[in-house]
Amino acid sequence: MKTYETMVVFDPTLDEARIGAKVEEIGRRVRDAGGEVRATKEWGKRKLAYPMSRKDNGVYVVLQYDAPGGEIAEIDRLLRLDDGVLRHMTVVGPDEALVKAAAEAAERAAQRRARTREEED
Amino acid sequence: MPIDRTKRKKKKSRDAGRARRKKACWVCENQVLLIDWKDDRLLQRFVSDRGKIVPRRISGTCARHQRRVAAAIKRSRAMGLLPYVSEQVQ
Repeated sequence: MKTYETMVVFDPTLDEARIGAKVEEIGRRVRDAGGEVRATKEWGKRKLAYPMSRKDNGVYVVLQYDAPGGEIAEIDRLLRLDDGVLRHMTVVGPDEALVKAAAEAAERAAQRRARTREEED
Repeated sequence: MPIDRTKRKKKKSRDAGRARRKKACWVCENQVLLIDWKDDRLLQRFVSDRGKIVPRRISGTCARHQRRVAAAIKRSRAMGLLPYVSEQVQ
């Protein structure tokens, strides 16, 4: 099983409960297929870089989960048929070790910047 | 009669006299290990104010990182995080 990452941009006129239910539906499918949802990140309403379906905003949700490959097609179909979804994309997520290493490196970089700033003062 | 080559004017390169320094790759420099397509603020650094991907020769990004940055920007655009084109930028 691989780790996947799905980003969904919902229609901003949809109410939160409806969006929550759709996200939960994806989670349910993942679990039913023997997978596991690792994280659900709700970015909330955000301005789109360009209008989609005459809308200037979108509600962003990112799901990270382990699932068997076959289920990805199902999730894709589900999202494609949903009129409340402006855009969606599923990618194979970077492996955990890399994400962790990257976060640590970012942390170190922040410390280094703080240190050089101190030296300058 | 042999051609006199000594008189021929030396072609001047456009960069003659101008010292060029190799720019360091920002990604390498800051040890960014993962170029995340979801991180539009990071990617913003690699697009012009028109929304175009800045070429390597301008940004100084190394080949490997430029490839990753470009791929990330394209994914990001598809999801509406970054513009394909942005017009009215002054």
